[in-house]
Amino acid sequence: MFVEYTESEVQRLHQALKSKKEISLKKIVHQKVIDAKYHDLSENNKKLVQIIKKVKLFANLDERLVLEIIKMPQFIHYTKADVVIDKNITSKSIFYILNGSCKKIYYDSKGHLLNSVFMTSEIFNEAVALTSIKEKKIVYANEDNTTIFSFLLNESLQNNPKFSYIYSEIYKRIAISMAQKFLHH
Amino acid sequence: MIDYIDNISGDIEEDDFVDLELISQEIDTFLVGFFAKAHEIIEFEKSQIKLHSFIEPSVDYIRIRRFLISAINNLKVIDSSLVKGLLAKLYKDEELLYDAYIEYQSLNRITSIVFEKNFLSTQPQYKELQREISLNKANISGLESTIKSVDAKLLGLTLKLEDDPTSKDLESEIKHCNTRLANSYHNLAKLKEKLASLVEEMKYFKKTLADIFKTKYESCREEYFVEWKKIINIKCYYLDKLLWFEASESKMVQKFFLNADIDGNYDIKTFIKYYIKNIDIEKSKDTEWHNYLLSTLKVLD
Repeated sequence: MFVEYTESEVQRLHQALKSKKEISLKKIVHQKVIDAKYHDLSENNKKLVQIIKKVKLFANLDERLVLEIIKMPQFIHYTKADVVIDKNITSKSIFYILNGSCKKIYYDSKGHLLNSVFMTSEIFNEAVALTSIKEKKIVYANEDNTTIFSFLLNESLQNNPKFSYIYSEIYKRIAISMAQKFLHH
Repeated sequence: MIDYIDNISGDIEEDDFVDLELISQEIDTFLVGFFAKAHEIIEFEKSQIKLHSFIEPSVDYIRIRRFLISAINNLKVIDSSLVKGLLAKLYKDEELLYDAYIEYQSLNRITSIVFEKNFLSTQPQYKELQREISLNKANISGLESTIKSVDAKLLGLTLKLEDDPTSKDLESEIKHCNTRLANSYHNLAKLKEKLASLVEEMKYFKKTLADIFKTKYESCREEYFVEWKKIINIKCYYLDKLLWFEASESKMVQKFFLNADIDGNYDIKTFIKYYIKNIDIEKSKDTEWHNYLLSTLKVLD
């Protein structure tokens, strides 16, 4: 008892009060992209690389380059009926199902209510991400333990020759995915 | 003994006996001394809070404290070097204050014990009354012994007088014994009356004091309770914030949180959610702990 605190200690206490840090890969990746430069990856980015490796969209691509061109990576666990994309929100992220499945409910051009199911390893919302065309839809988790990895593509690096191959590969794969879906429907 | 008995006065007026104003002052003086340590601690802490502009949280952190300590221990397991420097200092400071508060609560909880043990026994009037009652009881006991022996002697003399009915000496001695016996009974009655009166006075004295004491003591005690609790709440609040601030900078903790797939901010709320998620309530018998965690979450919302 009767403990006194120095000015620097008090400052740190006030600093702690204001601090609100998120347990987010976004910040870690962002920070890493700035100073990574192909040096050894941090533990956090190693974790992210492990997940990137599981994503078929990025199969056989240099994970370190992938790390640099994706923005706002997020991993979210859903239980059945949790909303992934709300009908009022136009998300420009690409969603990749790591585990589980999702159902999309939407209207076609003739006003018919339709639905489609996305299974593990499938991507969705890629058309919106690439074309920015608004689509009235709702996507929700179709089962418990659905895990989704979502990310944005960093458009500012598209013209950088270092990334030209990786962008063309990703776009090609997205196009194939879209074509397969089109044929399926 | 006789002198004492002769000095027995008539009934004592109750109002003459207890000087309420004086008693009230004496209780005030007693309370200042009794709560001196608590007062010293609280005033010191209040001055520190004012000096450093520490903020009082809107949440009752004392309710969260149990989990906060658990979180500190858990994070220490993840990163053994986490609790050092300022965090260790604040942790110790809060712990000492909390322990002292609990001890203070437990020692002062029962008013009647403090009244009897700490206050009443120091009161001169009470001590004098106790002395008088003891003396009175001793006198009664002495008189009863005298009566017994005079009674026995009288019986012996009466038997002798039957053998020698004309003995003037025996007659005179029996007369003396009878007088002595009558006086003794009379004095005994007066002493018993006095004892009853003293006991009544003692009861009245205690009750009057107890009533005034209870009001003053409990109000004073509650005032210190509230102030002390407020200080601990502030310490807990800063301890919690500093803990997570330090934790968010620890590579070991960061790694643990990422590996555990924990989403949210580096704060106690996220950690409680993680805890709840990992408790198998079906297997765990500690439902009380689980319920406590849920109630803690509600406090934080």
